[in-house]
Amino acid sequence: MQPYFNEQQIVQIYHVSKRFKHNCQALEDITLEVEKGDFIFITGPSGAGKTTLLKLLFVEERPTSGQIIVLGRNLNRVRESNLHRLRRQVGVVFQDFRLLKDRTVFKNIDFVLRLYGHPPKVREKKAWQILSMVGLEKKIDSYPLELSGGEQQRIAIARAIVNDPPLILADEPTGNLDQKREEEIMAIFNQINARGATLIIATHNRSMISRMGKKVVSLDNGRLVSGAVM
Amino acid sequence: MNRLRTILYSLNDGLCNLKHGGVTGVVSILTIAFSMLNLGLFLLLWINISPLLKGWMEEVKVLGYLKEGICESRIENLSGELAKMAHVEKVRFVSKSEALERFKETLGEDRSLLEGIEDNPLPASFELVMDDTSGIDALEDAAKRLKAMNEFDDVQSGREWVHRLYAFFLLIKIVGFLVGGVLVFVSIFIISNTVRLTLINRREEIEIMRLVGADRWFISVPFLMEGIINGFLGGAISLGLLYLLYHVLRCKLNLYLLSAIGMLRLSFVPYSAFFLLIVLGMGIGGLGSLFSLKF
Ligand SMILES: Nc1ncnc2c1ncn2[C@@H]1O[C@H](COP(=O)(O)OP(=O)(O)O)[C@@H](O)[C@H]1O
Ligand SMILES: [Mg+2]
Repeated sequence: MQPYFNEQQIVQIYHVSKRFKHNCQALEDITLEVEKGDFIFITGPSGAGKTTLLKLLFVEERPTSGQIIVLGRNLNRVRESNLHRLRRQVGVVFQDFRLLKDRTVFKNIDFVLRLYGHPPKVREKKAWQILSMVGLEKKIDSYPLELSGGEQQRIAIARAIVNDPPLILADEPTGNLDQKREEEIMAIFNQINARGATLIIATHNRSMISRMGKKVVSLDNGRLVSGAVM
Repeated sequence: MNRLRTILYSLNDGLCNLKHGGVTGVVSILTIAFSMLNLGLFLLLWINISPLLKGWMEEVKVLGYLKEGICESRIENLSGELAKMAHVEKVRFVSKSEALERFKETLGEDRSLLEGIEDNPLPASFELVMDDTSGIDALEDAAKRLKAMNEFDDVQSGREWVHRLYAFFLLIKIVGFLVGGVLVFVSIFIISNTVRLTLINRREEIEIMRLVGADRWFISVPFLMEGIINGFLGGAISLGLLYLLYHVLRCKLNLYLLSAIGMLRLSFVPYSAFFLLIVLGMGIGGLGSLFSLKF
């Protein structure tokens, strides 16, 4: 059955499997729909396939079988040279941050702002605003490796949300943060969600999930365990 | 418009990055400077030698230097006799004073050196310009006949040393091209390796850029700009070094040695060569970056 595109759905995943080399089955027959404006946690033990699932959504990896539609695009049909159009609408917080090490914090944020063609004045203002939002405006001229893990993580978060993308994917975004920072970040995510953005957050932090009271999708060993609301 | 902005931004970024560029940047610049210097030296050599060669090849002459004290009527007779010889196109008589004039001209600014000399030490001579069809035999034949006449002190047939010099310059040319070719290969090897190193350092960076939504153009332009800036600097450095070398050579080379082989002055490469070296450097730098970007 060919999936049809639904206006309400921002992410549609149909019977998706992902098998890596050496026969490692990371995901098996996943079907999942995410509606516009949703705030969803993907949880499960380490190695369950959370990161892999997110990677499929911004096409860092491609599925072995199945179909994925993101923001109305069937990812199997998007050519490599057109991926940037999709990626500009998806803010990603990578589990390992992936900041540009040879550029200052400002340049890291500025880089994604330039993708949108903002003039320099606007970029400066937006970068400063977003950095003060995550409490790092004082580190604007530092290089990523001069910062702590938690600080780098907050820069990664700032970069993912600075362009107000309609879809935000975050992989263990609070893994390096203490409770206070975690709550601050979650408050920011809530705020962004309230403005209409859709968030999909992978985490194994159960206490945070229960505190937030959002939709939860559980993975175990590459399979969907439950799609229940907690 | 947006693309132009990307280019300008990258240019600015590239200039700022020079400080951070570190070892790979310096290696690229120096490699380009080295290969461009090599090319520049070639040009310099070529520009100074090719007119000489041309001049020599055009004038195939037999020179007969007259003994002192030969009377004018005999000189007129001789002139007629020589003109009748086979393959002689033209006979020119160069008097003692003309010879001195010519020598003064050759010396140019240094003619004051001759001021102290009262007696003219230069002999009068006959120049036999041979026609186009004259082979080396005709030349030697003419030289022999002149030697047999007892009015002549010394006879030189240009062919011999023109031939020898021609062979010599052919050798220089071949060796030059060989050495140049090897050096060019070495430079390309060094550049491609530097670029590969840079690429390994940057593969992660490029991957990140793509994942956050940068397209090919957006990623390539800064690297391209950096390569072009490196190339520009390399080209400029090579020009500086070339001029320095030229200057040292001009000071150290013996003027009389130079004028003996008919080289009046050492000339520097023309402005178009400045352009060539710098643009070529920029091209190499840019291409090097482009090759490294086959992601
Ligand atoms: N690039 C890869 N090559 C091979 N196996 C991989 C790769 N990425 C992930 N895996 C495997 O896929 C499974 C799921 O990994 P991952 O999605 O990172 O889990 P999680 O994020 O839930 O901890 C693991 O068994 C992991 O070893
Ligand atoms: Mg993970």
